Amino acid sequence: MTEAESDSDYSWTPGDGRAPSSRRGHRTRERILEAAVAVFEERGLVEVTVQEIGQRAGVSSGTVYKYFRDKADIFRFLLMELRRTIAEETTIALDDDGKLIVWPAMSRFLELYRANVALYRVWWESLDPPTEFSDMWVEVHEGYRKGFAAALRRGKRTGVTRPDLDVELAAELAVLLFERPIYSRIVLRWDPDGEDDQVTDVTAALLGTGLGSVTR
Amino acid sequence: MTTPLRGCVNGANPAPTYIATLCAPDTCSARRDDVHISPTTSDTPSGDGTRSTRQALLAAGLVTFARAGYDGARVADISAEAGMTTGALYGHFDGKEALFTELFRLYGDEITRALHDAHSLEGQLVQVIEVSRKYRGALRASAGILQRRPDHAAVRRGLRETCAGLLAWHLREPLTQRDARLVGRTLIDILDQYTLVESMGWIKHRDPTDVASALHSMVMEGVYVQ
Repeated sequence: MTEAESDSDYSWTPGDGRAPSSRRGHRTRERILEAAVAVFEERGLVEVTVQEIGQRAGVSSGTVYKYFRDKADIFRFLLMELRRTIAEETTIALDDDGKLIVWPAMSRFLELYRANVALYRVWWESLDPPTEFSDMWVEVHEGYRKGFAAALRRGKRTGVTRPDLDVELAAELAVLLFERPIYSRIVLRWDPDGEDDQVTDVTAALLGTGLGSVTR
Repeated sequence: MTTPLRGCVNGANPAPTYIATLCAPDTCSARRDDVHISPTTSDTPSGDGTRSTRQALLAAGLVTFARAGYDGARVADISAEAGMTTGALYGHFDGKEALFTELFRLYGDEITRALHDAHSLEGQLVQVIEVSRKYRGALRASAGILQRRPDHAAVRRGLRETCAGLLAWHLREPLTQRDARLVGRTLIDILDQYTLVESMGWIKHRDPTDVASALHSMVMEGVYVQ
């Protein structure tokens, strides 16, 4: 999420080693993925079968297995894509002083989260009991934490970060700002509508100069 | 959202019985049935032995849920943790769900009281961490069923609003009411998750006062020099 984010250890290879070789094959795989998102959203990862995903996509189970090992493989593929998009589009840049520029990244993050709400819903649901998807979640969390810590430590060297700030702890809390409050807001829909700008303001303030002197 | 702090403004230091009036009456009336903010009075009133059996079962429930989550904790596991038979558990609770509901209600009571009694935002944050840690089994179980159990989600959401309103009380100086409540929600969410991932062993264990102090300083001063 920040410029210092580490590379992923995860990679995905097609079910039986075959990526779609034709344009038509590519379209079929896309249709399977879209169907999977819809089915996961309605019924979650645990109860869904490959057969259901195939039915929704209008293909046989055999066709699904041509591209994916099982339903977890489909979800894995979708999460990898999502992670790549998030990493590419919501990197938090640093300004000339080395401070995090939170607003545009957070704003885009909220948009992408909304656009992929079904995947986030299933991902959160897959955290307990722990699975490979909770491992992936921990890995993403760690990547972000290290990125924030690196940016804040750098700020200490250049004198922009508060000297008394516990960098490790602040980095941990910074990551949490992008996790549970967004989950409550977008997946659970617990917040009043139409306050995205205020939520982004608050996050930017906590990762900026705080709310203590704000008068609005 | 209507005037969430109305009750607080009227009473500078309201007693715990006023807790229900701290939030807007329109949202509160629905919520009181769910969360039961008043102190626990539902213990079986038939002697100390029965009462302590019930307490032991609740304690065993917390331990078992913390270890195995909601789905992984069977009635037999909870009973065994308490050193009792499943029959003893069914003597006090209709089943796992009823025991969980009671645990979450106790958590709600305790965190609401603690937030109410704390004298500062930082003190409140320490309390949230400590109470959440104590009830981490209930929180893990709650997280596990949140998406598939609308009834529990409604209770949890109501408690979140109550907690956000109580946190907002100490944020009313620098912020508008709406922003204070929004920050309150953010803080309760962050600490809920902090405790949960800590109990899953995904982040390192830290002193609650350190965590509260860091979070409080980020709220007031951010991470950068002014």
